[in-house]
Amino acid sequence: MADAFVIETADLRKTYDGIEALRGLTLSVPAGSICGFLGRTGAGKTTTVKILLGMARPTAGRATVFGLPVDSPAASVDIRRRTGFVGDDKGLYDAMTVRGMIRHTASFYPQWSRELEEKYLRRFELGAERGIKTLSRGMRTKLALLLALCRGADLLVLDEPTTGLDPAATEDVLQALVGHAAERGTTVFFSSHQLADVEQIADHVTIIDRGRVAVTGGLDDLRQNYRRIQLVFDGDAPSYTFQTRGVERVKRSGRVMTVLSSAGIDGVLGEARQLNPVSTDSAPVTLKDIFLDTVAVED
Amino acid sequence: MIWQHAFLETRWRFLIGLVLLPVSAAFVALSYPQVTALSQSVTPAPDTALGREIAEAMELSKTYGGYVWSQWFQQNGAQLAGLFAAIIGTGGLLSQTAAARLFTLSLPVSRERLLAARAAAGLGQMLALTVVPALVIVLVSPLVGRSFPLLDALAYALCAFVGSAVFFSVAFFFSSMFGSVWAPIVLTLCTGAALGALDRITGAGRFSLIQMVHGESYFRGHGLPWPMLAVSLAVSAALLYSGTRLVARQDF
Repeated sequence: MADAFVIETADLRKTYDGIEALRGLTLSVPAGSICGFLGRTGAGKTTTVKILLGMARPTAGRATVFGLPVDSPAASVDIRRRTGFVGDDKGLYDAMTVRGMIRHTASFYPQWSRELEEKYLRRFELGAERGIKTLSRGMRTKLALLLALCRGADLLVLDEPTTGLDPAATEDVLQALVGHAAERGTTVFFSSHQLADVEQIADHVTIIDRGRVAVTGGLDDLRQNYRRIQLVFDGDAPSYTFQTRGVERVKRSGRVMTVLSSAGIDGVLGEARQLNPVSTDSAPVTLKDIFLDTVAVED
Repeated sequence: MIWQHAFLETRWRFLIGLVLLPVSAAFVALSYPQVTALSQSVTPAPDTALGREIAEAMELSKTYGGYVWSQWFQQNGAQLAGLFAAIIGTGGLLSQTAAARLFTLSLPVSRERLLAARAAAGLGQMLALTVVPALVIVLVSPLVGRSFPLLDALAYALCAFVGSAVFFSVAFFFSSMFGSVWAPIVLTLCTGAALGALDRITGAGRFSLIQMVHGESYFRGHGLPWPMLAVSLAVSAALLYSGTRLVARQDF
């Protein structure tokens, strides 16, 4: 039976020179999902990606990809054989041509698809004889994506794949990604600052903050369950700690108390009645609202 | 393909060496008539260090074999081989751009294999840079009416290769500690200079790396310096292994 989760980490920790980049990260990425991995700069996204691909070792905790431990060098080679990676800087060898880069990468993957290679070379309008050095950032991203897609990978790991791209290039890259994942059932795990990109293609979201998971779940579930509830009082909003499950954040400002709930509104409203608010209101939230309320609010 | 990539990384340095060293070797061999003519008109002062060295060089130049050994295998060839060993040994994962490094590390190859390929490609290049000039000397010697035995050329080339492999390995080791391409070159050249200075101070004994690189024992009729060749190979292997372990343990 196939594993339910392609990526799993438990209490994953990473310390660089006394600085904790990851502080007990526990996440699961379902097989076949497109998982957006969100967080502020320095939240630990790139460190997580590096650990998953064996580029950095965890200080403590456990991480597996395809059920294989990432900190075993031999298992890490197997993981990378089944994984396509597009790094933040779209790392390629500047001394090579596009075709040379493709041939070089293809030599490591027996399942390399020449058919897909031709398809994406045409679709992305990548001149095969062009030098890597002469490619724009958008073209480099497309080439990096081609190299990741053609290798027959079961998992694509992308670190900020659309950073620095214009809207047309972003759309092209996202559509290629979604189409490929849908056709082949590939799991996609991509870190991003671009909430719109995540909302557009992800079906699963994990938001991390300061090296820990702040929010995780299916995007539809998050949209359905997350609600912002506003309570207005006669005087200043009281200082109060909710006992109801799913209360993620409480903010007070003058007469208004705003509660972010991840478990609908009924429980919160029931408990809030004892505070005698003069009015209550609730509204669904966007991914951006969830992100800002769970992460940026702590600044 | 990791071999090809390893070769490509140092191909320009290697190709420059592959032109420079054989041309220099040919120049040394072809200059023999002019040098012998010149040496007859020079009288070195024997009471100075420089004078003694010139006198020794003139003495060696009385035979073509002595001339080629002293001018190429003991001097120019050995120095150039050491220099190119430092230059070719430098580089690798740490000196790649951060982005290219992550791409390399994302490939399904262990770091040990990546570094082994780089070491093997570099040592292969060093073998060419020591053997080809020696063969060029054998080939051009008839042009000045002389001959240089192939076996002697290969014996000196072997000594030069094993010695330059040590310098290559020193550079390789330092490259696993420093991201800069210059630090390993400078440190390797400093190591060579320190060994040379040590030889001068101690009088260069049986276990002199520099004398082994020159093939001095073979030239003096004592055969190949097998113990020192073995020690040098062991030192090279230890340095390559240590450098590889350092990189294998690093976070990127």
